[in-house]
Amino acid sequence: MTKRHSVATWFRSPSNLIASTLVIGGFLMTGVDEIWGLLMGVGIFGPGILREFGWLRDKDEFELRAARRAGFHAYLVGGLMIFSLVALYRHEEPVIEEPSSLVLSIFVVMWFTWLLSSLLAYWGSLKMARRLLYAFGTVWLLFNIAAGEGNWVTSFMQSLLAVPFFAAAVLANRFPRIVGLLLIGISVFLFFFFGWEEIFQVRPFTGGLEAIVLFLGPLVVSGVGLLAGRRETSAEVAEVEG
Amino acid sequence: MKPRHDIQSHVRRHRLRLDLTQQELADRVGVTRQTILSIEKGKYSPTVGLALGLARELGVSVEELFELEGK
Repeated sequence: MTKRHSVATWFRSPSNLIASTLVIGGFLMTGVDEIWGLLMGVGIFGPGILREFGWLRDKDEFELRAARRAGFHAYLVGGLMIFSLVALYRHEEPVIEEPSSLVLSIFVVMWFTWLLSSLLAYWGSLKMARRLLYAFGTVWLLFNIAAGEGNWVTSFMQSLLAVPFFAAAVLANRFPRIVGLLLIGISVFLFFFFGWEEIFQVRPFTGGLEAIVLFLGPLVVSGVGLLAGRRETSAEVAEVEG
Repeated sequence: MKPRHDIQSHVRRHRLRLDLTQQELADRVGVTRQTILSIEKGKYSPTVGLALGLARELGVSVEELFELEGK
């Protein structure tokens, strides 16, 4: 099965299609009224609930096991985060300027954990790291093209920032340890360069933690994945790439 | 300490013997290609039901498909 075929298969699945429609529709409708955010929740968690009741049978046993393990990992990380925050806020007078951002941050951390655990189950650490880098580079590329506001020279120059991520993905299989160390180093540099250590403070909590998780998370995880992963043979890469 | 039951898989060898692709075998037993790949690489130990299904499609016994590592 090729990658394109697997993506097409994913979209052909009625449950995935309905869930995606609910998430996108819910997100768009929050512009009218925030209450429509409920639809996003139904789209994200509804299929999993139906599967657990046995009313939706669109996953095989390996996929179900991966989803359940990922859910357990998200529960562990989310639970630890919640208990840490509760202990911190009970220890001192809570200063939470954006309560909904705090809740959203917890959800983003749990979702990110769930996503990484799922990817790890399907691809292993090395392949997960390489594909995260490709995905991160693509998102960065599209973001910079859009930010260029029609000026193609600006768009092109800003797009070059995505090149290191694609290069890292290409070089990752050949030099996983070096690229892994580089990614972790870059993450630490960006963390302090953008002054994110101030956002990372939870007292006062002003939101923005989710931005750090979603921006630096893929880089850190890719780096760790490359350091921890076993280098694959070319035959293994060809076999899985299909 | 509880004992570990790590499984060594011979699915790939028997699949290639019958000249089947991973996708063809996956279709026959009703799982995804990713599942067959994970079983062949030893990353996933199938349930008894799927192991029996694989054994039937590959024309061998379950014991010929899987064995305990370090046996």
